[in-house]
Amino acid sequence: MAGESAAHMILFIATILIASSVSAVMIVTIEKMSIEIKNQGEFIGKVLSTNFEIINDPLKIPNKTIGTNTAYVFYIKNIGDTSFAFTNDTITVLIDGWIIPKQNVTTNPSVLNPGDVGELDVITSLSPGNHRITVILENGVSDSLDFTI
Amino acid sequence: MGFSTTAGFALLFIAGLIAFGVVATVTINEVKELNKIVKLKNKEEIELKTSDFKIVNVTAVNVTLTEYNLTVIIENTGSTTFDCTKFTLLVDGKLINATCNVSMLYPLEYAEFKAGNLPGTVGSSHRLKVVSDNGIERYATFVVG
Repeated sequence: MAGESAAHMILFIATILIASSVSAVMIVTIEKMSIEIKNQGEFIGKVLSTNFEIINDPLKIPNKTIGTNTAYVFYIKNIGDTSFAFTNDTITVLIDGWIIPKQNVTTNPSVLNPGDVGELDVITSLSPGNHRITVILENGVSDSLDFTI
Repeated sequence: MGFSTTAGFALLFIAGLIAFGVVATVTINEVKELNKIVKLKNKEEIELKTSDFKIVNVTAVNVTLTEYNLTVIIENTGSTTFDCTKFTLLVDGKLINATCNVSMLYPLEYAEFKAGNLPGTVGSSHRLKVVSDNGIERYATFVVG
């Protein structure tokens, strides 16, 4: 009789332990999942509210001298609802499909607020003719401009 | 044995409820936030479709042999209001600093942008680009008089 009670007690404790472990794993997993859902939601929200445009006159791309190099000047206007980081670490510049190394890209200012226009200087050599610049922000929002030199 | 199983299932059931509650709360909040943003985007798209402006007049008067003052008048031909402080003007592809006589440009109203001491001689031809706060672009050419 006493042995049967002990067996029941052991079974009960074992069941509770297993159930607790499974519950703990389930709660931790679900919590991680909820944090991920929150992060993804915030990211999608930010992407949806970010928008910008390269506003250059495609027939007149200004250039300037930086050191001994010639840089083409592009103007980026924030036409979205949120600010975004505007540095050579946070944006990617492609001209005619080729990535411009970040040391050849300078930006001003470092943060673009809604309605603001930033200057993007790209040190590169371009032959006369048609070209295409693509600017990609860190959250993947991009814009392109076809221009001529 | 019967009680142990019941207790185990009860514990799992409660944990399941808690987990469901956590996920449901977070998901509902995020869906609400995204819904707000999507509504805002829809509103902006409607605004963009109903926004328009045109360059009515461009006057460039020389002040020195190599510099001129520029006056640009634009008309809001759409049905939304523009924020004039967020307009951008480019002359010959270069960004210029221009001041506007009004801060808000209401439908069917006019705004006057002025910029001084731009490089150019009498008779020289230039290209002007005006960009609104929501990205609408208009071009014009002018000759310095």
